Amino acid sequence: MEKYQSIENLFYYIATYTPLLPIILFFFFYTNARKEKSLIAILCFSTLTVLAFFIEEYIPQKIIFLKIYYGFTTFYEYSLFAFFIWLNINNRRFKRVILLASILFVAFLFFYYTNATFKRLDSLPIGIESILLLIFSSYFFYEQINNPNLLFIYNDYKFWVTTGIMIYISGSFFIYIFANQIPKSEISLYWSFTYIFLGIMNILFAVGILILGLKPNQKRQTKIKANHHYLDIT
Amino acid sequence: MFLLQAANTSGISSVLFLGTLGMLVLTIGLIMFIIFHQRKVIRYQMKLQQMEQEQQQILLKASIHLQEEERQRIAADLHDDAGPLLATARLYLNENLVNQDKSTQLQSIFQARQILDDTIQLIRNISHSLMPPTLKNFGLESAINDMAQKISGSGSINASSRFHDYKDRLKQEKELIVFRIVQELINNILKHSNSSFIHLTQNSHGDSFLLRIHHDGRGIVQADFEKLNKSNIGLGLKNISSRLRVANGSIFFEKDSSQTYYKVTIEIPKDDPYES
Repeated sequence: MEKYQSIENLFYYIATYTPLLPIILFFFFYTNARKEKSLIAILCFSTLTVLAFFIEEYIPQKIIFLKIYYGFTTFYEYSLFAFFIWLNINNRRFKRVILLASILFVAFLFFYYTNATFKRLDSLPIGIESILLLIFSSYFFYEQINNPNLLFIYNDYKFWVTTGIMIYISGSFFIYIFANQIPKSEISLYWSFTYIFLGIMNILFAVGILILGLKPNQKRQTKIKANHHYLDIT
Repeated sequence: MFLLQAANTSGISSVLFLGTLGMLVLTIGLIMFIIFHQRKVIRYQMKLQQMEQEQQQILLKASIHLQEEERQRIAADLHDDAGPLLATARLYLNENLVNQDKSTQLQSIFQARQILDDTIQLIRNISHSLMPPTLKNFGLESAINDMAQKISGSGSINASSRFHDYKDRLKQEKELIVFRIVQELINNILKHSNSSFIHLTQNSHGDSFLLRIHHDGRGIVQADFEKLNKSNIGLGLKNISSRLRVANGSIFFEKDSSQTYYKVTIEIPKDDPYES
């Protein structure tokens, strides 16, 4: 039993500390990473995840506090991921679709948290959030494969970030949906799985930033080229 | 009650397990599909690019070959015709001419003049074959009409041409391209088709210059043209293709719906946006 407990703790720590990876790599490759506006959304998400894990320890186990905590988590998770995809999509019509869906979703969140009864987790908003994000991510990939300028999709950091989002959402979807039906004794076991997917997502975010950071700097290349004027025929 | 609860719990567990597994398989499958699909598209594009490069290589070779052929022809004309003529004229005008009697001198001078006139005519013919003066001075319409008249004049085939809308002339370079293409096509018709008539019609449609050649002999359709263009034979057709590429034009070979004659349509944009 103790062995299982320690494994569960390990997954918990992985989920708690892996969000630091994208943050560290972002500052490590600041020169290249700062140019990508959409990375701000990922950086905010990682920071908020670390803070959420930290705050979770001190939240009083009362429904009202849990409601606020989970409500806020669902809200920032959806908003930041949707914002990331919105920034990276070119089709204006689909951008409007994301915007409209987000407005409706936020309105639903407000209605849900003010009216619905809360048991253990906000399964319904998470379910809707997951479906919306999976649709947005799939469309993003559809747009990417139709982009003739992109030679290898996996050389782009956005691919890794979106893959991370999709794996996390699809992996934890059923656990969050059934969270209120799972017996209390087993909940921590299933929660460990969500920690694994959260950890995978953060690692994939870090891989994305690493790919972005290791890309050769365009400015430096032009500078090198410009220094070879003496090779020109005068 | 306990059993019921246990069964219920195991049901949720299996749904959770299978659901999560299914979602993950779907997501990873989708991502793998995207990666492989993109690779497939890239491979296809590369193949297409390679084929285009090969095609360009064939066209380039054909163009060089034709240029070399043209040079050889000019060289042969100059060497075989102009050279002997001038050498003969030189023989008539040698140093011994001053020692000859007056009538012989006059005859020699007359012969030399005759030979020099022939040489001038020969050089003029060579020059005209390089750049027809009618085309240069009066434009494509006159040059094509002139060509049709000359063909008809031979008596073996009936050739005619009609320009319906050619108030705004094409640029000189484009006129030359069209003229060369028409020359090549007519040459092919005369050589291979065994037709009894050739008729050229010109018209305009929007920003396009259109020219159609009709003949009632043996001809080719678009599929044959494309096949010949990709093969190592049919240098003339490759030359047409490379000229059309320069003018951003297109060509279409077809058989008329009545199945009685063949049609070749050339379409060339009047104003090239890349030209200043």
